Amino acid sequence: MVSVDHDLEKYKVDGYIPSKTISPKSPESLADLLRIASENRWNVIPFGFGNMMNIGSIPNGYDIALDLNQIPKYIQHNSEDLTVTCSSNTSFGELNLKLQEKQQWLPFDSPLINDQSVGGLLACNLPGSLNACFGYIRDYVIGMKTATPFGQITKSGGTVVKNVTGFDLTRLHIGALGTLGIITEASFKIIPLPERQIYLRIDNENTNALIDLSSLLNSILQSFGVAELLIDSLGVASIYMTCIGTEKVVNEKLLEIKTILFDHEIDLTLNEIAEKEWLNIQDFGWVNEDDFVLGRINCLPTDTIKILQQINRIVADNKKERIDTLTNSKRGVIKYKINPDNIEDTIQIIENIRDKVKKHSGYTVIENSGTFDKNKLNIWGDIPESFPLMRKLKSEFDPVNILNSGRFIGGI
Amino acid sequence: MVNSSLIKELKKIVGDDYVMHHPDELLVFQYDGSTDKALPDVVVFPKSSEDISSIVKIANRYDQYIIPRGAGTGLSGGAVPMYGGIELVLTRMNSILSIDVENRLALVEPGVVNLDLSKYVASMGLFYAPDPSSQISCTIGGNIAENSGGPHCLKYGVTTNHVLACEIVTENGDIIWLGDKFRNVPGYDLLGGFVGSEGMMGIATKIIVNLLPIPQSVKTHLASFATIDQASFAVSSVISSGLIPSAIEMMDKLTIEAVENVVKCGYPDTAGAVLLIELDGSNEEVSEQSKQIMDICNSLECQDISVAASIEERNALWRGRKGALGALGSLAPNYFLVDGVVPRTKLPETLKTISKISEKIDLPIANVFHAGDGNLHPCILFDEQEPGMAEKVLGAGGEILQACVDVGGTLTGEHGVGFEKKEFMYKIFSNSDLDQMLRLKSSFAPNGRLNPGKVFPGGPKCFDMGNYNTFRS
Ligand SMILES: Cc1cc2nc3c(=O)[nH]c(=O)nc-3n(C[C@H](O)[C@H](O)[C@H](O)COP(=O)(O)OP(=O)(O)OC[C@H]3O[C@@H](n4cnc5c(N)ncnc54)[C@H](O)[C@@H]3O)c2cc1C
Repeated sequence: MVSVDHDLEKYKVDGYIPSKTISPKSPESLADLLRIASENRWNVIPFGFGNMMNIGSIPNGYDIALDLNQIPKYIQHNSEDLTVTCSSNTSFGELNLKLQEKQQWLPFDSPLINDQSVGGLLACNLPGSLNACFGYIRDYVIGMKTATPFGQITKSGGTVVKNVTGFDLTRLHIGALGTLGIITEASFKIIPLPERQIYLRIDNENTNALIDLSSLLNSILQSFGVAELLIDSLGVASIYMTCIGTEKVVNEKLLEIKTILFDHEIDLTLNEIAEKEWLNIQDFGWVNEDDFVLGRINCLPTDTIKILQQINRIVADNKKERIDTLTNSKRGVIKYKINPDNIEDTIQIIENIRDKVKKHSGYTVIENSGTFDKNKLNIWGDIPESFPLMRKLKSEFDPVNILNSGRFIGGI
Repeated sequence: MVNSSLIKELKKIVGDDYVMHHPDELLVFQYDGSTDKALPDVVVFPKSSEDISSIVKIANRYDQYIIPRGAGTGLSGGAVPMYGGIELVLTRMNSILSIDVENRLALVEPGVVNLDLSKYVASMGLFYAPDPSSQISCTIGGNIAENSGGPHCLKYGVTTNHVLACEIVTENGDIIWLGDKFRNVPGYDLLGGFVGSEGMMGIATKIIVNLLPIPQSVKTHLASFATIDQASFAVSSVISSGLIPSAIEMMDKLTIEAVENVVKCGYPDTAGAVLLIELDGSNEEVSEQSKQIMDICNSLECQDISVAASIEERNALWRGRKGALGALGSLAPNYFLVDGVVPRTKLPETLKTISKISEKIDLPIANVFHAGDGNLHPCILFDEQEPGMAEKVLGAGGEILQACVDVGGTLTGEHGVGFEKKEFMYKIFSNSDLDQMLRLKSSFAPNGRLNPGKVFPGGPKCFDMGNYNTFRS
């Protein structure tokens, strides 16, 4: 029913090594294990592909690494209904490849998108650029099955695209980092693959010009694309863009962009780039970045550039730490990556940024702390007003607190 | 008998004019268009979140249930006070509090009528996407409680996709915000759990929704088919062709007859079924897609396909669709609307089953529905004065829902479970599934004071629900 793995080192989380690894062979045995863990108050950390384990605060304890990869994988693609159901340990990359065989897709990006399991992608919920055009993963999930700490496999939603039968539990699990239950299956509504998607880049050392331009490009692209502004630690800026739609729409947008660049007061060249380069941008702060701390700011789109400029001032005042930013004024997201030279300085910078963001009613979380000592960081930032409800929810779903204990907001 | 000191306390909060408790006054609040009726003990019309908070605290002291109500168009018994109590009617809280045009946000009170919001922001080039067919009267608060959709949710999604934040009054009278002006804020998506909770987890008192830019171009097609089978096949063909129209609505022969009796909007009387297919987007996109729609429908031997040539023509086509339920009154004194969902490819098969059920019970069933989503609305036409009719109709409704479930569908696409369908929940969910939902409810409203006896099988406090208590730690 289960297999026990002794190679514990690879399941390390925040320096903690589990006492045991268990790889259940079916959702039912997974649920059974959770029940046994509840009875014994073992701290359990579920492991999908293990690429995003840096997210979250330090666990309260780590008795069992629950490797989900031996549960049978499946994808049921109902192409004519534009829906798909898959096991949570399916690779998101493989899922999208399968959908593409029928000219369909799930329009998400996220760091390491092709190396995340579907369950991990849902539990971590780190949206990339495309949500500016297509919405969030929560908007596509139509059903879910989860294993609970009570030893059951439960479902909510279903496999039809419109459904208000019963309360919506799917959204609770999205972004919950596996603290309420372990997702074993997910159903999505999917959409037709666009005729064409292109990727573009503009570089220039005139950072201010590119800041303005990135906002302009975002409004020109409307829902057909999105522009990300990368400013590296030397102050060199690049705009990365994608444009998606019918052949005709993409050509039109391309023409509009070229006209704007042609009329621009500084000389700007537009480079068409490969998808891989665009994906690298999505991986900002997640690939070989052990020496970095990656923070994410969410704010109102209209506040994005104001906050970015304040960060730029912090960057200019600081001589030691290297700070890169990736900004999306359409989504209201800024990611900042600090190369910590001095721990105290880095913490100070993060707190400064947090202060500025708070004044604009935004949020900052540390998405990836690399090898930085998490004890010294406030990973989740300020706790929201509704936190007491979150606590109650956790105690209802996981009464003895076995699932990813301590890793979520406010020590949940 | 209502406690007179309770009435006094309520009047102190909202004023004498806004508390009703004489039986005659209560009659209109016993009903929401479903078959269930029950009188509240008292009806209160609050004006603010603070009023509601005080009322909830009073209800706790007097051990009274609270039943939130918007416009009462729910159709599933959701707003019907089955076990009495204080009905909290939110229609006085109908202000659009602010619009942030740049970020495309609206802050509204729960009693704002759905269509009023879109009308209000139209001059700013914006609209609110969820558009239930009842949008001329239903409220945004009711939409949140039911996670309502509408014809255009095929492209734009339902209420949960457009609500960003909500101030709620909880069961103990606390006022708190869920969500924020943008998505992806840290912590659990409590708002996602709250939307669709049918008034059982809190009362929505302020709501932030996102608005969308009005599309540059809209084209509405009327395609008529000889049979409902052909029309459903056309729906599947459009969906699987890679097009996403903003709406695909279907009306069958009976509905067309009713609409033409009452609304007279030019639907062809020779058709077995018509489809309204609407496209929106940029001019080029829409005209290109329109050609594809024409090609698909023509290749499936539609009798005729035309495009509304003016806004007036488009409005007339939609007037027919949105007035269809009302028009059914021209065919029979009563109708019972069943709200079920099937995978879109199962539409032809399910419509055949519905037609067989109609023959079996010897009552006509009119179909008018959101075909693009597979969201069926078979309307059983009957006369409630005839003895035994109610049981017959409810029985047939149950059979239709079973047929939906049998092909992989579900019990409700937009009207909610309410009181009407709660005993059907076991057709879809196990005790453990329901237990998880109760846990969500319990974290918001552990005492079952808010809108009791809805959604979950059993009595007012869901106590006869299977496992719930045995799993508590
Ligand atoms: C002709 C017709 C067509 C319809 N078409 C559609 C359609 O296309 N799509 C669709 O989704 N629905 C449709 N409906 C159903 C109905 O209109 C929707 O469910 C609508 O959202 C209900 O809004 P309401 O204000 O009437 O709510 P009510 O019926 O008053 O209440 C519905 C539920 O919401 C709760 N509630 C109300 N306000 C609040 C609040 N502020 N906070 C917490 N809980 C609250 C109530 O307790 C109840 O459980 C239709 C109904 C009719 C009569």
